Amino acid sequence: MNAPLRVLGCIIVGALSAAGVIVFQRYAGEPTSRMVTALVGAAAVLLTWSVTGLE
Amino acid sequence: MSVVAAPLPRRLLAEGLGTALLVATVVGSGIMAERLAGGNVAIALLGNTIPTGAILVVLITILAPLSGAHFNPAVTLVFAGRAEFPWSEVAPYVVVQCLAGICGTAIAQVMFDLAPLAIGTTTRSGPSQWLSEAVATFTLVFAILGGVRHAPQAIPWLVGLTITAAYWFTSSTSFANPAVTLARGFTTTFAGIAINHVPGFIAAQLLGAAAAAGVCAVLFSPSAAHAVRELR
Repeated sequence: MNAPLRVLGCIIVGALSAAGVIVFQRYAGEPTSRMVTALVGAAAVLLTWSVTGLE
Repeated sequence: MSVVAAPLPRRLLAEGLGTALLVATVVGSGIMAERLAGGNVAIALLGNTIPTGAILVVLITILAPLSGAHFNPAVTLVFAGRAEFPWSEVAPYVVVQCLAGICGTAIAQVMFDLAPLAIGTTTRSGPSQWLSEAVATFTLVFAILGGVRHAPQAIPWLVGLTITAAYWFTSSTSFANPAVTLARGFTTTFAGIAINHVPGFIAAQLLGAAAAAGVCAVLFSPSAAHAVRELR
């Protein structure tokens, strides 16, 4: 598998997940937490890296 | 298509569910069609086309009253540009559409015993493909805005039939949707696209959508309708 493309895919999913957390925090009226946003984004990157390596 | 009556979380759930099911159908039917077609790409494409058009009719019919059933960032941006959808809700819609689309790919992949996500490698690039995407998205937005103006009840059918037709008259097989394009970048199956070719497709789709919005603003404006009545 092309490693740079895999990295790109992981970054896309991580960034989207972090954006999802920001949207959720904003519209749920919860205080914005950069820590939670970063953790979810990082978890999404790791998860995507893991599952794209299964083929 | 521009209804915003329900609370935002409910509308986001509708958009997410609709986009996920749409992508699961596109990717899933692509896998099934390719496996059953015995190497005949035309039959595989037909097997991919029919379920996609059909599920669009179903999803838009049942979810449009809740969220507007955009399932497509280009459509969301067009409605926002026409002041028929709040700009403040564009980001949540687009984020949910994109994330749900990727979930839809994962669902389809797992249903067919594949890894949940794979990095797309299918080459879909070049001027002819980009023009195809611009034309496909132009046609889709043209159908939607024409439907909004003249036949709101027919919009689910207009969208389903437009995509069914565009699968066959464009060289790109009509993605016409940035969220679906991104989601299809995470599969190596029949419906996939190389993930580094996604930006070119999305740029072409947004250009096509903007062009259609401009044309429809002239074509379907109240003053244009008045002029037609005067002629009659």
